[in-house]
Amino acid sequence: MCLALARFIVRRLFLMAALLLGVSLVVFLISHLVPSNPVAANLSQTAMNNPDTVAAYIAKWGLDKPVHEQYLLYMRNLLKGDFGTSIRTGRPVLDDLLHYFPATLELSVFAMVVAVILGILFGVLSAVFKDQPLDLALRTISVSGVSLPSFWFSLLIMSVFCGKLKWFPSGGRINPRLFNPTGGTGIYTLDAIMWGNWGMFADSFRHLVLPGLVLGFFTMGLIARQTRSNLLEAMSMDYIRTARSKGMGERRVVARHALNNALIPIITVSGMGFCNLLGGMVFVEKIFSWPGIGQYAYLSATTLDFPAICGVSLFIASTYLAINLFIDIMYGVVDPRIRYQ
Amino acid sequence: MKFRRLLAIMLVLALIAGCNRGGGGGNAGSTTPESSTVVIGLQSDLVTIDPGHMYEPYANMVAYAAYDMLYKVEPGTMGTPMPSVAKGVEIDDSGTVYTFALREDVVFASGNPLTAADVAWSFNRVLGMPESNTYSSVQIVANVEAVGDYSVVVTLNERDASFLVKLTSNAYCILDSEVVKEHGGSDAGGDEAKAWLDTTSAGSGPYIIKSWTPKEQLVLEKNPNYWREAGNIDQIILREMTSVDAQITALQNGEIDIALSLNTETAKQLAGVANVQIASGDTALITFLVMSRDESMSAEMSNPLVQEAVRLALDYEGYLVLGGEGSTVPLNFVQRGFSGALQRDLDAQGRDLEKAKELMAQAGYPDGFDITLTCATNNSEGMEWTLVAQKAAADLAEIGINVTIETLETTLVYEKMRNFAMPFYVMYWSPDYYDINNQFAFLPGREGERATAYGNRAAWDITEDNAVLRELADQIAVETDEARRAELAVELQQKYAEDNPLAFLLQHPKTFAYRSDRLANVIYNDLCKIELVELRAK
Repeated sequence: MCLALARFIVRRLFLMAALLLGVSLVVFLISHLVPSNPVAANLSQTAMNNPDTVAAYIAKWGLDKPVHEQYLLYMRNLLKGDFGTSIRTGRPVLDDLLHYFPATLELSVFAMVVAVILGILFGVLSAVFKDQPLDLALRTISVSGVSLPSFWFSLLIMSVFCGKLKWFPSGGRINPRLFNPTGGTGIYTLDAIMWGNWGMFADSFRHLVLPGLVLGFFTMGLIARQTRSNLLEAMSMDYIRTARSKGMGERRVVARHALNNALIPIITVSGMGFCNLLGGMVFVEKIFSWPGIGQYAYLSATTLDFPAICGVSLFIASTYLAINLFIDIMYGVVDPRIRYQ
Repeated sequence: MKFRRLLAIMLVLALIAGCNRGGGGGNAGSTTPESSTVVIGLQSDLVTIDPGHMYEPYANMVAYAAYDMLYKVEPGTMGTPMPSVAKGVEIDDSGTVYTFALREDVVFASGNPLTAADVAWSFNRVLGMPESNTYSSVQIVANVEAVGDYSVVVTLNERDASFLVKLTSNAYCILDSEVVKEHGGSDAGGDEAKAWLDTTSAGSGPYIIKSWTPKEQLVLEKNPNYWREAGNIDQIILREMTSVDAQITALQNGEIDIALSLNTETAKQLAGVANVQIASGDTALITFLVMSRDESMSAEMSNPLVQEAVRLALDYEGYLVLGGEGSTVPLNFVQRGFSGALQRDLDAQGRDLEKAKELMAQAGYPDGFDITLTCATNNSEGMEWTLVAQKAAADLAEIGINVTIETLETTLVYEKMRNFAMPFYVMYWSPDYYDINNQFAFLPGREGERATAYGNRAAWDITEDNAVLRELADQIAVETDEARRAELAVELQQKYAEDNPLAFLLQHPKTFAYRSDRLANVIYNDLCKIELVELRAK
């Protein structure tokens, strides 16, 4: 089993490398096919009209080289671990990614935890209380989750919980009047725990709640719906009837037998949800002023910052592939009948 | 059992919701007492805080806080230069050699004295970075030389009446050369200090940049070595808030003290809110329509008669409503606040549909024509370009011009502008320095040394008829007598109004709001936005 798993992982890693190569090529080509260029995007109106500045700028960023030469140079540097320098910020892309990543990781993990816990809970309750008022209420919430546009939901939730009730702050990661975290992992809640600074933990957690809820809402809806339908299907199986006939309590029947067997599709949906969550990050980060990868990706794309666009794309593609690999491994863990091939 | 669980959950939620005043400890800790910290919510889009590279609209807000220049803008004025590190200046008869006497009591935050060598080094650093956005501003400098410790001689390539005004921008920030050199700085090209200068500051301004987290916040801390009277604010935090709604909510809740990214419409949400003051300040931002003279782009729109008809068909009163209170319609390219600026007289030079239709008929288009108006998904200090385009389309429909609006991402519009690929588009202009000389970018001239930004973009050649515009501009560029300069500026604008390929719509103010219970002396200046050095906590 272990050997098969190791072989499976190695094979998938090779496949990932090939896929990432493809992603880099496609992204590089697409970003160069856009009818714009970084000179227009990054120089001021006056500088753009200054031939000396335009010439020096083009030379500095190698924009005068043919596209294939730029790509080969980029790949050669990438193999050495150099993601290039961002045309927009002038900093190494890897530094930028590492700078923005902790904020995104913190938000996405929190959103995912919310989505999985609430999604499974709502799905189970919906299935157990099928067609009862609780089921209808939870189904309404889960359908809202998959159908509400995140930008609209963000504004709504901000208006209610920040504007009217004043329960939560209106954006950002931390109250800058009180804390200016430096060093650490950049994941403020984790840093606060490590430093034993509970005031900072509470403050950063309060900042996390609303964007996390908004971001996790869609995935929560997906998981809840999937859980409900899988559970209902499992509950109609013979082995459930057998378990009940042996006198097993309803709670144990659901938790030990039905839910266990319904988990595989839920894991698939959770993985897909996590990837969707990365896509929805741009809106939520913008509205809640959350300085993460989403905003970096958006600004890089609008300023045609080729190295940054490629860096972000490779980063997101790697995350996507890693999650898929993790899900495939989890299948085997949840259901030992599944073999790694 | 259920009740206990519910109680536990409620307790945790109460702890999280209520525990917003944290204790210290750890690496983070509480920084300064809340009362001495001011938080400003804004949407700065700063990509660098190196004064040699900054050009974004909020660049000088940071530069004025952390650095000094030889001259700075007088608070509350539109670009009037006043001596800062310089005590005064002597200009030779040729008008190209400026000798500045420096104050001897200025020290950098590091404790190093600010000397003439620092000034020369700082100017030469930017001159050695032609790829930088600030390079155009310093290109006028042919040579800069330190004479002794407290005298600097700057020689210009040519006379320039606006040189003192140019000195007030971030391109001319004076850096602590000893410190910057230690971090890769160079005045002979190949400067590598940007990475370091993006983390801190090396100036002599009232504040020190303690940290900058792009897209999150910039923390300014009071400079203990500041050479002038310091304010009573220990720390200022510029907090990036990309959502205007978030800024409004945060201001109401007291999370921030100033919400900078408002406009007249969004500010209405704060009307009547206790302890919140809505304010506005003049800007030099102008919004206009560009109509290319290139016949291959559009035979109809390139016709000068049609372009005049467009100007007469526009409902200027309506644009004033869009811009909000304090907006004005400039006669053409010189903004209110600049030398000799003229406004459009809306009674005599306002909308005249009959005359516009006559001109359309004279041009050979009595039934009008179809045209595409391009605009970016952008807003300039609250002015939505798409709204401007929609209003223009509605106005022009009344003289038969059927406008189709093409909305594009901002960078695509800039690229099309660079490639002269639009016959008709919405654009804005914010000056690099606050002097009429900066506005000569709107004069005719497509090619060669006399090419200008909008002469080029609107395919507007220098001809015998309009050569006088250039002549007048050349006189203004070097005229140091302010009254004479204003006279020439008036003449230039009047001549320009007779024929040009642009339609200037409005100059609108900046709207913002602040906590009146916490702040005093909130002064807006278009160059450095809020005058942080003047700001006081109550």
